[in-house]
Amino acid sequence: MIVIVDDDEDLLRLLSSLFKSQGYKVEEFKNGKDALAYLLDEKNIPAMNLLILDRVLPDMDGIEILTQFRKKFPKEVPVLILSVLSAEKDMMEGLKKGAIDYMGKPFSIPVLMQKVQKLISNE
Amino acid sequence: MNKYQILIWIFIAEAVLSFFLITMVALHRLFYFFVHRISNQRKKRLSGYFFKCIEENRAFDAKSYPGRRRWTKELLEVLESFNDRFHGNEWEAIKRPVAEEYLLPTARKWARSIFWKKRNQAARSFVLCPTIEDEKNILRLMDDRTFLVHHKATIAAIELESQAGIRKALVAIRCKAGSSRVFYRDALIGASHAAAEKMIAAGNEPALRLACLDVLSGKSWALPIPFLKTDLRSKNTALRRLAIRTLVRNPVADCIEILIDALKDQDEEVRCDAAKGLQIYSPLANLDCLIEALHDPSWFVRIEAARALKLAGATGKALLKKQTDSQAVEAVRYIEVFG
Repeated sequence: MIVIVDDDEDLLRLLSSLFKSQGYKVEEFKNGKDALAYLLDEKNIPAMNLLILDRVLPDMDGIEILTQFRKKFPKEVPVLILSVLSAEKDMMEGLKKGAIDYMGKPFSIPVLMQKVQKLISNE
Repeated sequence: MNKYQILIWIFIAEAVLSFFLITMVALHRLFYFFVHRISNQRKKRLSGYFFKCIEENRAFDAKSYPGRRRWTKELLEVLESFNDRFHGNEWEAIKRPVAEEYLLPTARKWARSIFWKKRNQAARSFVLCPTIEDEKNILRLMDDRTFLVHHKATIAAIELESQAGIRKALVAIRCKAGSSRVFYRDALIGASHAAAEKMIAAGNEPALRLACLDVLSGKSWALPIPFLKTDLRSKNTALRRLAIRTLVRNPVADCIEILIDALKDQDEEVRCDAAKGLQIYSPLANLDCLIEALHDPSWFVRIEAARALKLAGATGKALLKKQTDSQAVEAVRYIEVFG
């Protein structure tokens, strides 16, 4: 299962339908609070293959979600950050906090799909 | 007419005037309420169409396109919002034909408009789909006095990888004062590999060298910079400062030796940037030069040298502990506390 956290509803819908068409189960969240509640629940972790996280959310920074998630589950699920904040220091921050990959927006859909496939198969 | 009658007439006139104004405001609001509603509906239809194209991985087809030719404003806004999310060949295959068919003909007309909003829309259309055919229009819009026009036109010129446009942006960095030049710098930092090559070629012009180095120092370009070594030895302090910053992000074969030499430069900023650069290469560098820099007259250089030693690993940390000189010890303690 892929968990996507992004406040852009249209993008969320598109990514969700693209991943579903590839045979993945998808869980979508539009805000940090709901996402965090889901991510910190231990019973959801075994089914989770990948977390795609936006950094700019209406209620909190994606990095905050990542930090809390990694604190509780240090290695379990690979995290891919997909954000408009794509300067060198933003990428460094995301990778240091435990993301396995960082993609800036605008992004290429085939590249994202390829990365997702690779991250899930590596897992 | 007595004074009471006059007062009554004034009251009536005021009431009529107020009623007229309130009615006008209400009508204006109502008009724009419907204008926005219609505009949002159009944008929703266009967004839905583009999402479907991406989802089904199909290119633009004029027959199934739900928009009208006059929906340029809505189409431009929708394409811009998609362009902020996606790039790559798939998105280009959708965006380019739509823009060529529905945006560029209007943009070409509006590039010469006397209204800045129309020129702004033209420049934004050129950003989405810059073509060689429109280079002249783009270059003209770069000279526009309205920021919202020349800013978009500059991005379009850089997207187009126009040699003349890139040169114009460098000239603007050189000539404009204060924060207005920062925009041109940031726009050029986002340039493609081919555009960066053209920028380096323009930087061969001595008058544009500072501006070019200013941009090149902004990120790693993975490109040879032919004038870098000459500028590192320049008598012009500003040039040396930018050259050393550029070198740190764009290393050459003997870059460690150059950075070590720069630790002895007469300019404080050059020495400071050299010490910062050595933080990346300190595990490979001879650490004696950094120990020497711990006794530099400048506090900033001492701090950066201490930081570089800390990043050099166990040997560097051991050397930091051995310091006895009060200035060096102060820098070491600062780094221990603040990192």
